[in-house]
Amino acid sequence: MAESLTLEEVTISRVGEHRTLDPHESQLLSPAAQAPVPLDTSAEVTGRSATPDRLLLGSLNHPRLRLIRSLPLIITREESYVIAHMPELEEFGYGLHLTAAIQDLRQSLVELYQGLEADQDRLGPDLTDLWQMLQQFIRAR
Amino acid sequence: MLKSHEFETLVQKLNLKTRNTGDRHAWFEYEGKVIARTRRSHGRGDMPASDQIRQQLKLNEEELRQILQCRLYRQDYIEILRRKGKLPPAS
Repeated sequence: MAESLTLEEVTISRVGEHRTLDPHESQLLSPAAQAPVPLDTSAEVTGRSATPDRLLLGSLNHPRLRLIRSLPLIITREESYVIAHMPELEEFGYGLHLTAAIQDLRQSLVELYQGLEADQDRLGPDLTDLWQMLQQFIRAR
Repeated sequence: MLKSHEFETLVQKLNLKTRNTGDRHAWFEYEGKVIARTRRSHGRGDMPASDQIRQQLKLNEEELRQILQCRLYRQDYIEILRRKGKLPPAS
């Protein structure tokens, strides 16, 4: 036996068609809602920046090397670049934003570790000190 | 800011050894020992962190400027490092 369905009548609106606004829409379009919203410019006025001055680096994201202590970093800006600098290890990374600078620094630390490890028998006094200090922060997994 | 070609001037004038990985590494060797090292990212134009590069090479601002102006060379650099106690005294 054939089943019969009864369809409700629907109205399809077209773009640009006039219709009555619901109360919420009316509220959004009221003159008060359309008035300019004042921006918070206090950061510009006081010189505050969204980029922190200091950070602790907690990981190297490297398969063979790991951090055994957090590395204190100083973050500075130089024109359009962000620089992440670690004075104790005289190492730095830079990029157009903080994440890129941190990633560059991680890569530098890995290459520094590998380079000093490979040359450890022929390092001058400063680099011997640097190698010893680096091992206080970085170890092989 | 240091420019990429100025970094290469440092490499040339100080006769630094170099190696390219993801970055360009440069280091100063004296009598078989690695005394100072630095690096830069690949790419042309301005490079930030010139202060950090200068410090890695144990130079002050004036010494760096004079090397870039071709007024100081490798032998002068050796004397600078010796004066700063980074190299043993000349025998």
